[in-house]
Amino acid sequence: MGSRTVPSNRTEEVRRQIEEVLSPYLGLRMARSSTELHCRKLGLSEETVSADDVDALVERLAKAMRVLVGSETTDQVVEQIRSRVPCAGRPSP
Amino acid sequence: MSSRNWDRLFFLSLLLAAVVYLPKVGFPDSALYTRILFPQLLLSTASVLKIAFLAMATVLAFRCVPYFEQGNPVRPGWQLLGAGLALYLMGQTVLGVYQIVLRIATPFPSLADLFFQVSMVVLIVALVVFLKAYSTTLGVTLRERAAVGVMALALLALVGAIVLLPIAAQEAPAVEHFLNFSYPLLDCLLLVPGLMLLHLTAKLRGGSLWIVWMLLLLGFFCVAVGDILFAYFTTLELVVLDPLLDLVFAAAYVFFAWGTRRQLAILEG
Repeated sequence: MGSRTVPSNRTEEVRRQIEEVLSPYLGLRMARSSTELHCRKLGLSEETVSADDVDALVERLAKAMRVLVGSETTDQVVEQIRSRVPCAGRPSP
Repeated sequence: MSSRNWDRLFFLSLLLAAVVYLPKVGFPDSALYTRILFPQLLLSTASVLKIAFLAMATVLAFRCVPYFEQGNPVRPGWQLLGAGLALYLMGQTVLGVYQIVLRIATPFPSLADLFFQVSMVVLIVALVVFLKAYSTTLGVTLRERAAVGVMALALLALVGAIVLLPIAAQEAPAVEHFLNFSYPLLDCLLLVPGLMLLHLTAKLRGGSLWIVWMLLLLGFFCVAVGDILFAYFTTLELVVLDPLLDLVFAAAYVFFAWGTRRQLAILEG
């Protein structure tokens, strides 16, 4: 069974959406560098990402956010990301 | 009350404190400060407001704790911050009893100094916990932390030497001498993790978390500067600058309340 693909699955677009959600809390520079760092650590392609990749990325960012803004706000942040990056977080078929 | 109105309240409080205290440095014997804002009125009002803002900061810090689950590395930081502010509040309350109820000069040393000294140790530990948790989260390397730490230590050793040498040279009863020495020393120690956090949280510039830490760190710096100046002015008997000290300490408590209020607003979503 292959990985699901995010409709707008260009890595750059996915990162931009995530940065927009995180930047009110972290500032744009930290939002950008955090997202880039975790993309690099996960070995994500510079071209496209799968839905599973997005899930893994969101999970890592959520772990960091819990230290900064607590669990409730982190859950809200994750929901916002999922609404902007469709298919992220949906269980695999 | 909305976040914007809270911001207005804190800003106006700072402005009012500056407007009331700063002119007194230059014109302490003017009619304004002898007949209208006469010493006891100013002292009592300031004491009540300082206690109020410290109490607010204490409650707000503790209210932040439940939003960080058990095992979250930053949870102890908020607990210690609340505990440190609570101890500081108790010290300020003891001063309030002398100033408002008994209406006599606060003895030095007093029970307040015990609370203040213990509070400083707790607050230092709180800042170290925050530093450790945020360094890991924000991906700051040990090398970078060490470099900033060494610079902060060097700077504060220099400041400490300048401030502490005249104090050490003065003759005073043993306990008083110890306190005059330990206050600025503890403040310099507080400023080491404070400066490191300032460097770290600068990476969050533009975000709401950066504002929280700017406010909290301003509070810590005001406390440290106030204590250091108090020890310096007391030793050199520069009482004319007391209004400046009152302003710095009042500002510190407003910044603590403001920063914790902002953090709670983020946590409440």
